[in-house]
Amino acid sequence: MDSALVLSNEALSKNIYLLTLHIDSQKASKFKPGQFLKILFDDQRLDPLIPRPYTVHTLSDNRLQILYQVVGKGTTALSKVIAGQVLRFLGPLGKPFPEDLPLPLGLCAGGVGVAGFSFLLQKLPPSHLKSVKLYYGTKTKEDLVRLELFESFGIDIELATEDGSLGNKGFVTDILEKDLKRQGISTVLACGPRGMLKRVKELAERHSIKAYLVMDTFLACGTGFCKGCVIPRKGGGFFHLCEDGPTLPAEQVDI
Amino acid sequence: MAGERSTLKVGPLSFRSPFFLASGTWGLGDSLERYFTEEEIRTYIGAFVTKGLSLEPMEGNPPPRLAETPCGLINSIGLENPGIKVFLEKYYPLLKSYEVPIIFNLHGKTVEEFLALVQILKETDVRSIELNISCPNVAEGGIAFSQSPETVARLIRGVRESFSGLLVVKLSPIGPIMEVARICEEEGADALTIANTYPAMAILSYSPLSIIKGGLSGPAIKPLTLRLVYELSQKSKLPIIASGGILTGRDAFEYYLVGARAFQVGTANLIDPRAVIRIYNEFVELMERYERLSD
Repeated sequence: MDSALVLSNEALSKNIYLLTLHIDSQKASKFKPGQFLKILFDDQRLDPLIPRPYTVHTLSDNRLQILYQVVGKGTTALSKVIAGQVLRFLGPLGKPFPEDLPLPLGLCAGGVGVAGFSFLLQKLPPSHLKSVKLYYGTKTKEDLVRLELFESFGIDIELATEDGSLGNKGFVTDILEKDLKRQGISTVLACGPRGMLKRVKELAERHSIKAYLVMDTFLACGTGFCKGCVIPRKGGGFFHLCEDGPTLPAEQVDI
Repeated sequence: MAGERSTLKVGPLSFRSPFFLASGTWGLGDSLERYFTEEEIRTYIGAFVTKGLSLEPMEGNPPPRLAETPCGLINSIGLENPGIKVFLEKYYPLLKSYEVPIIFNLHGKTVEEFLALVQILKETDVRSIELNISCPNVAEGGIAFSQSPETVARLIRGVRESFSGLLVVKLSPIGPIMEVARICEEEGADALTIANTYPAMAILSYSPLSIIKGGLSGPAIKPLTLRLVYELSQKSKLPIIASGGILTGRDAFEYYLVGARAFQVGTANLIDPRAVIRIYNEFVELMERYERLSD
């Protein structure tokens, strides 16, 4: 368990927060894009009991950022931490995103599912960035957070909101589908709600492209001990999300 | 005890630390070295209790397998494990190299399956087992072994006929626990683990209704298990290994005050894999203060 000093914890929209931590730089160098960490509060609190997992949003030297949405007890508690507080964390956990993802690469994000893509973009060779396109969709424009950061990578970005308040009106998978029809994408890496991931899996199968889904389920240990975080595997059996994932090949999951 | 680093005796075995890693909360044990140094393993971990092992591999339950409730965790893993043979071949050799006692947690669907597991272990150097009697007995309509003292008697008698090592029985908190404990003693068990998780349920979504039924663990159950340990320690001469919501040294110390002589750390491992070290140190400090008070 390592210590992290809270540098800031700011609300970017009604429910979405950006937490900036200062961690040991040697520890920081161990994280790879796609991996996650579990955050513990410094007191021994009993409720919420199990530390929640968060993906790395950005990481440079010893500054690690987490982009999160408040959905339950764990994230509510996290939203209340303030600068100067010390948290503890366990990580890196899980497997990184697959290496050398074939280009052109589509990053498909639903809501705060976008969080982990920025660390990937930080680590990609600059020459690859022109062959990456981000499809970023939310319910409404207030939730399209961190746009400036993603624009700063110089990648192609297309936006969608369900209410049409910014970008295309509709689902993010609708705009992804248009490009898949044009054969503009070789690989899709997707992170977002289960419904969106299902749709990406269908689209990838229909257009015969490789897709990886960054999955989510309630997990307890994050270390492979408890065997609680299973995702059904196509053809039988299960993936253990914290050990085998969180990124899984779309064609191998049964969702 | 722990403060003086003296060894703890439970049945025929000695343990350097009274803190055991509870079954199923450290996986198959193949990642111990990722979180502890060898020295830490030898100092702080009294024993490693394996994940529940069955005769054949078990895939476990479909999701959802977990739900958090206030101060507790419900699990419905479904005893996922690679089976005893694969465990002995693939995982046991590495675990042995840590020089920490390995307690094989076993579960069978029938008494005969339990006995077949023990027969397999008889051909090995395994000297410690813990029987999980909370699982359903298929031969008796799926009622848990722990509900039937007669079945538990037949089970322990059968195991004892062919196994002379440390025999621990992990009791279910539900059912005729006092009678089952008495039978364990009569039939020659060496120690009791008090207790397994409590049958519980949570609602995951209201519409459509989605539920999870499983075993509740964590600090929510500590007062319940504390009472069981207290009452059983008055009735049974067998050493008691307390297991139920131990998150701090104070929890373990309270179990000690009411009669437990060893402790299993379970859910705490899921919060922090190194929790046992902190719990051990907190416990030792409390013991030292307590012993000074008693002088």
